[in-house]
Formats: sequence, structure tokens, C-alpha cells
Amino acid sequence: MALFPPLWVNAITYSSMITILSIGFTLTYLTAKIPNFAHGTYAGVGIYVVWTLSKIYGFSPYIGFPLSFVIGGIVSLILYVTVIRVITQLGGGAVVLTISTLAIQILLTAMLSIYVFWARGVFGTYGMGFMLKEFDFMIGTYPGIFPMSFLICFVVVILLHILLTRTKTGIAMRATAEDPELASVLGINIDMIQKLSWFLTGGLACLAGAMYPLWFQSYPNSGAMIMTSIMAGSLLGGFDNIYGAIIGGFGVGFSEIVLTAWLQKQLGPWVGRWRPIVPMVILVAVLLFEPRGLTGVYERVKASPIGDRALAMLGKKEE
Amino acid sequence: MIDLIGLTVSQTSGLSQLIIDIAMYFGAFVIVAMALNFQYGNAGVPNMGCAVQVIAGGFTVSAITTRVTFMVVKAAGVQLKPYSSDYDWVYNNPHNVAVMTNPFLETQTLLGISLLLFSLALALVLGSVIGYIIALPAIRLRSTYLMITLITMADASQIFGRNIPAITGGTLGVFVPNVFAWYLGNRGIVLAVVTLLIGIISFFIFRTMLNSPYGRLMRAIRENDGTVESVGKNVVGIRRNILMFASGITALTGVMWAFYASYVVDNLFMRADWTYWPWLMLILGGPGNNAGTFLGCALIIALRRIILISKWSLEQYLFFPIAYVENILLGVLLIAVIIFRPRGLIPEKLLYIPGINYRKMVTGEAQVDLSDSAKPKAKKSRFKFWGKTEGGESE
Amino acid sequence: MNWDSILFWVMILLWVIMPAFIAYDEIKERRALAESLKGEEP
Repeated sequence: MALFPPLWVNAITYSSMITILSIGFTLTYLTAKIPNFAHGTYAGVGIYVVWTLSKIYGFSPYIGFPLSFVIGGIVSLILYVTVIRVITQLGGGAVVLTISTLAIQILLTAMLSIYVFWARGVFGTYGMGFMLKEFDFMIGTYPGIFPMSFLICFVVVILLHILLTRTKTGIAMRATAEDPELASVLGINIDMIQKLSWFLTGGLACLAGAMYPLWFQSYPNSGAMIMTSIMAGSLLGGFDNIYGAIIGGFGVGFSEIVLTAWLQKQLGPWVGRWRPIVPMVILVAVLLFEPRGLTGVYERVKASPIGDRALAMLGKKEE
Repeated sequence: MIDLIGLTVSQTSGLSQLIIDIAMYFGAFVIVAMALNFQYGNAGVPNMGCAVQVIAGGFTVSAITTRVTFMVVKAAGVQLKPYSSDYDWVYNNPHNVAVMTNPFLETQTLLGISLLLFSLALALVLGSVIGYIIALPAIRLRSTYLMITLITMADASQIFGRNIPAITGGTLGVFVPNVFAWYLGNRGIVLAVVTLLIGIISFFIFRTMLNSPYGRLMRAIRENDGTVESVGKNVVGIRRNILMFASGITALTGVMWAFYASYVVDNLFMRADWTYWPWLMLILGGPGNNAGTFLGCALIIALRRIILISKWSLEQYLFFPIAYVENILLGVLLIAVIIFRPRGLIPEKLLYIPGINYRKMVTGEAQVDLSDSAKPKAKKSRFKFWGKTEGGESE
Repeated sequence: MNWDSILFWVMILLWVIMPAFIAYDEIKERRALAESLKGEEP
């Protein structure tokens, strides 16, 4: 008589994490115009913030969430100021910037691993392949991370929406994403906006990473391993649309878990090994059929007569 | 088990073994880095999926060459254990390769050589096919999409290798027949020689292509694809051709690497090794420049080998595996090079085309041609103009 | 006949020839380029 079958609990928890990460990935692409391959590794930072707090100091992992947001933001900010901004000012192209994010990914993963070995030497807790399920609280029969992750995802989306549409900073951010030169002419401090957006993306990624060990086994590179799902979510949403990234993240997360489980039931257990291929298939399909993702689909529907009528019926017609 | 496969290192000392190893590394990575230089440095195609093509070569050896060898050997009358089903393929493989096939190949020089050439040719073709396939979704789109697709493909091909036992025996991996079994000495030397030879041949092919009109077309596409498109060149097609050709060459590395390891498993071709390090070499040496690629390759491999050699002496002071130090060092090095020497250690130069005199092209003849063609019209109009206005100041 | 040592030196030779040729080529081209770019300015 469970209200949510375990499969859906799994799917919703995972999708919430992917969605938060996809939003951050899209935000980076909007402001810096590069795919940040180190984005998944920020999540690794969050994983180890929570690990330190709960396994070593014995706090509840939920206390680690705000802290990991701040720490992730600071890490991202440091990387922006020391690497990305310098290379941009030197006139490095998108490819060079992307390569540098790849370097950051490998650098950060190595640092996290060294931290894990260090912590093992000092505190005697081994941090490779750990889970924090025993630190979680239970709501009825559900683990606390299930409602919490969805709630956090929801709150993040709402806050981001308010930030981007209702506040001056958010509007400045959107203007910078549209046209940095014009924005600077209007008196917007572009550097400040860039810093804010990198802080925000790093913080969000770290927040998602902080939830990860409550549900999955975590390693220093597990953030990098879900990178494909993050990119697929972002691309499915259109790659330059934050609201698209929400739908895209949930779409990818759900299809990864629900679709695999359904196919497993239909075809046999061997499908389970192919789970990592699902986001890649989505990614390639999106690029082959509609490179602009769901945003492109929406615009195409809006342009067609049937979609036009449907939108008018829903009262959403513009003009 | 390793002795069975044919790694007899008795006749060579440790130092020469190390030199052979470095030569093999250098040969393998220089091919990948050169192909990458061909794609990114000269044509501006950011191929972040070098690992895919190396994997294509490696899997060609494990999935096709091994089977073909088994077939030939079986036809010659050697009693092989069954290998047709997935289970037999994986679990009878060590016996089939090490006990049955390799001793047979010791007497068959011609068969060994033809198997090597067969796998190289097949890898060249399959690598190009893979290049075509991975280019399919994103070659028309922005380079960002291409980078994302290719980096994803590298992971995807590893997953394919891990999950289909018929290719590399799943997570267990398969041994591949020793096609150099006829050589009774140190197998590593022959492999290093062949790899370096492939490197030299591909270097000359790339050099010739870069100095040809096609090379100038490639550079034009890198600088401004809109202009090239507007003069009637098929930019998408040329980009795809470049990716396919370089993919084929990169796949050769996979073949040599699989024979060198004499064992293929998906983890042999990690994305970090085969995508990140070639990029590191390219950026360090200077893209768009073969000399730079060579220098970068030599430096990175020397650095990695030094770290590896000092591993035993250093690891007693460290509390973590030294691989992490290596990663941090190389990452910092890459970022430092991008920041402090954005054009690499040896910056790119203008294309030098033998037989064409730049002095004449830039200053002399070209101007004469222009003035010759422009004169008659100009004179006519000037004459008319003068006639009408009766005045001199018409400049 | 010790093929090992012969091939070893062949390997070293190949290994040296390739960079040496590239360096020679690079220097020659750079010199030719500089020559043709310097030119006699009219």
C-alpha cells in the first residue's frame, strides 16, 4: 500500500540531483559560453564535505547542505578567478577553456582522493565507496532524502526563478548572458555577475553532491561519472534555457531509472548493465533530431497551427 | 601467465627494457597527438574523443583479429577449445591463445606478419567508420556540441566493451594472439620499431597533406569557416573527412597498444589516458605545428616516466598513490601553459609552400596583375569623366 | 646473430631520426619563411 513504489522514490531522488546539476551546467554555459566538464566534480566536493561532517564529526548530513553550498561556491569562485577569467582575458577560445575545465576535473578529483587518503591516516575512516544511509532519518517507510531532495530541488528552482525574473541582479545576469558587451554599456558590472553565477553554479552542484552519498555509493570520481547524465539533461532542455534544464534533468533521471527498470522487466536483467548508455542515447538522439532540445520542440509547436490553437485554448497565447 | 603469453624479458637488462617501454609509449602517443594536431591544430575540429578511435583499434584486435587467427589456426589442424559462445570465448581464451595459438605462430612468420597487416588495415577502415559515426550527430553544429558528443562517446565505447563479452570478454578481458611469436628475442623491441615506423609514415603523410592545397583549405576552415563556405567549399564534408582520416590513423595506435599489452580489456583505454594526455601534449607543444607536438609528447612522456621510476623511492614518504601527484602536476602544467604560453612552446608558423615565392606573391606579381586588369575600365571612365567636366581634379 | 641488439639500435635510430628530421624541417621552413617574408620592400 505504499504511496510511492520504491522505483519512483529512487527515480525522484536521482532526478532531483540531476536536475540541480543540469541547471548549474546550463547556467555556466549561459554566462561563460563553455561546457564546464568539471561541473560533476564540484559534486564530488559536496560529497566529501558531507562525509567529513557526518563520518568524522558525527553531525547529521543535512547540516552539511548549506555548508557544502558555500564551500562549493567558494571552490568554483576560486577556479573562476584563477583560471577561467585569466584565460578569457588572454583571449583563449572556447576549446582552450573547455580543455582547462577538463584539467580542473582531473586536478580536483586527484585532490579529493588525496584528501580521502589523508583523512584515513588522521581519522581512521575510509572514504572510498561509502554511503551515509545510516545517518538519514525516516519519514514513515521512506528515507528522509526522498522528500528532502525533491523539496530542495523545488526550492532551488523557485528561488532561481525569483532571482532571475524579480531581482535586479538576476535581470543583469540574464542581460549578461544575452549580450555581455551591451550589458556592460548599460553599466552592469560583468565581472561581478560572472563571479556570482560561478558561485551559484558551484554551490548548486555541491548541494546536489551533498545529497548523493545519502542515496548512492560515493567515490571521489562519482561526480564525474554522472557528468553524462548532467550534459544529457542540459542538452535535452535546450542547453541555453534554465527552465528547459529542469524538464531535461527530470526526463533524463526518470528515463535512466524507470525506463531501465521497465525494460529489465520486459527483456531480462541484462538490461541493467546498460543503464549508463541511456543518457548517451538521449544526448545523441537530441543532437540528431532537434539540436535545440525541448526549447526547439516548444518553439516548433508554437509555430505550427495546431500548437497555436492549443496554446490559445490554454490561454497562453502571446500578443 | 605472463610468461605463457610470450613476454620473455630474460635477454634484455632492466635499463634497455625501460628504454623500449619509453619508445613504445612515445610511438603510440605521438601518433595520437599528431592526428589530434591534424584535426584541432590545423583544421579546428576539437576531437575530445581520441579514446574512441584508440578503443576502435584495440577492439578490432580483440574481437576480429583474434577470431580470424583462431579460424586460421583451427584450419591448420590445431585442436582449439570451442570459442563460439560468449562463455567459451571468455573462459577458453587463455588456453586457446597461450597454449595453442602462440606456439603454433612461432613457426609461422608469414602468418604472423599478415595478421599484423590485416589488423592494421582493418583498424584503419573501422577507425574511419567510427570517425564517420561519431561525427554524425554534431559535425554540423557548434564545436561545443561536438566536444560534448565526442567526450560522451569515449565513455559509451568503454561501456560497450564492458557489456558485450563477444568484444573483449566483458570485464575480464581477453588475451590476443602474439603475432610477433616468430621473433624469438624480446617482442617489445619489434613492437616499438613497428610503432615508430607507423609514426614516421603517418608523420610524412600528415606533412604532405598540410603542405598541399588541402592543408591550406584546412587552415582556412579553422580561421574562418564562413568565408570558405561562401566560396563554394563543402565545410561540413571536409571536416568530416578530416575526422575520418585522423580517426583511422589513431586506430592504428590502438592495434599496436593491444599487441603490446597482449591483452585487451576496456580499462586499457581509459578516457583520461587517451584523450586528456594527447590534448596535454598538443597544448604544451603548440597546436598547429608538428614539431611542437613532438616536443610536447617527448616532455610529457619523460615526465610521466620519471614519476613512475621515482615511484618506489617516493612512495614511502607519501600516504597516497603517486598517480594523484602526477594528475595534479599535469593539470597544473596544462593550465600554466594555457595561461603563460597560450601558443605553446613552439608557436605556429605560417604555412611554407615549397616552390612558391612569398616575396613575389605578397608584393610583386599580384599587384601587377591587379593593375593590369583594372586599367582599361578605369582609363575609360576617367576619360569620359574628364571629357564631360573639362577638369583635371578627378582623383 | 643477436637480432635483439640490432633491432634495439634500429629503434633508437628511428627514434632519433624522426625528431631530427622534424627539427631540420622546421628550421629550414622558418628560415625560408623569414627570407620570403622579409623581402625587398618596394
